[in-house]
Amino acid sequence: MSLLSQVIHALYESPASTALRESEYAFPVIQTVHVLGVAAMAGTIALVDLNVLGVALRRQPPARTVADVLPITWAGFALAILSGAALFAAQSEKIYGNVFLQLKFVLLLIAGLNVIVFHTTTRRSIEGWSDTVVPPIGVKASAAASLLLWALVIAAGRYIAYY
Amino acid sequence: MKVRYGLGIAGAIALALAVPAQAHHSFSAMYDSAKPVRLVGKLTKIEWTNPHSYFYVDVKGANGQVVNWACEGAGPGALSRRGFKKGDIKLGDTLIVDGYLAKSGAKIVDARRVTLPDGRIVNGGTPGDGGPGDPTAAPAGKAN
Amino acid sequence: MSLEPLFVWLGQTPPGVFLAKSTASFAATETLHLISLAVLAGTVLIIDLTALRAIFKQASPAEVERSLRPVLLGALAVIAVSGVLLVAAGPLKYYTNAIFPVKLATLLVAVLVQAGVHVALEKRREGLAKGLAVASLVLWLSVIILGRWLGLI
Repeated sequence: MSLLSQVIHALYESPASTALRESEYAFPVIQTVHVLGVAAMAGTIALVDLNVLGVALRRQPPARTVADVLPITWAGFALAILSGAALFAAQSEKIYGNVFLQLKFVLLLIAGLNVIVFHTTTRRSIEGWSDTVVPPIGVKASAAASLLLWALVIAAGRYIAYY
Repeated sequence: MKVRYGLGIAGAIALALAVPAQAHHSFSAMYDSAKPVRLVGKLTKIEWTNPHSYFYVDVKGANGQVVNWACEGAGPGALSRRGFKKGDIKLGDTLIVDGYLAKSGAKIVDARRVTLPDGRIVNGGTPGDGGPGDPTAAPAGKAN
Repeated sequence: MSLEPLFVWLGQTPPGVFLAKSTASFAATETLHLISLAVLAGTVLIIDLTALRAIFKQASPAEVERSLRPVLLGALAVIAVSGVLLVAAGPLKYYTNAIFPVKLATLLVAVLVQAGVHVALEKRREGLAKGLAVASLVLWLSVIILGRWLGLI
């Protein structure tokens, strides 16, 4: 057994993972928390992206949108990642070989990197944008990529059950 | 406009991901509702797990050969609400499983109705939903 | 008056028959439903929290709502159409599901209350808008939870 499969096996057989996997209520509740967290996180990210693209929140400068919406995005992220970790642990041995689960992790990484790139490269320039001073094309491309990436993350997550 | 465009792209990509019909999620999505089947076999393994439970039965086919079938059921919560608890069945018990065959041809059924050794029937469906055992459903065949 | 014939008819429509057979298309429809759910959740959260003066404190809540309404309506349209398609793939299952009518009723009230938030903001009834915004958040949260529990009874 490889090191990875040994670690996964230990995680799967741990008392906490087993209890969650065999639970009557905890598992569905945590699944629901996961959906809510993802909805809040991806939903707010989508609206920031649409704001940068000039489609939504037209009178609101992107700088303010980002500042005001970020706490909700973080809260959603916290719920999504904690519930996601629990759901993964409970099913680990059965799903770590699932191609859609693996794809989802890769997409999450890319989406996360895109978020970091967006925030670091626009930290100073973002204050200058408004409905008359539009963001540069590279930034708009990052926003469009963000929309696509998070949509694919959600798709990959849904498809896990179909593998 | 861009919202619909973005959603459209995502949808197109989702559609392009051709899915091998192995797992499931909605009853009508991965099991074939035109292929109801009845399995009778001895329980060899139980996985009382979320998101779905699995019990494995050895079924003797018409040719005398014994084949192991997987029966996919609801999670522990839903089963418990239907009166089916972990200790109700044990290895070696004979179960009668009414379900639908997987579209892929794999030896797995969506277990809709299980008759326990004591004669009790646990119904995964609801009257009128068109599942096995429902008057509106197609007659069951035998698995081989 | 039984709605069963309506459900049966839905299952016999070409999209219903197609989605019942095609796992890939069913999964794609579910995915569209979830993506539009996320967008809807984002718009509702921003509109309602702005009405509650929790975010966008320097902006006009009516202005924020106005600039998000196209997205809200677009997401609602996609989620409604995808929802109907999902039911069409296996209508009797939903017809006999005790949670389904509760989800639909809650959804209807959520939409009405959201419209109420819009009207209250337009008429500058700030107190009313805040009350309806709280109700809206609770209702939409309930719709999502009921949606998940549909498959679990």
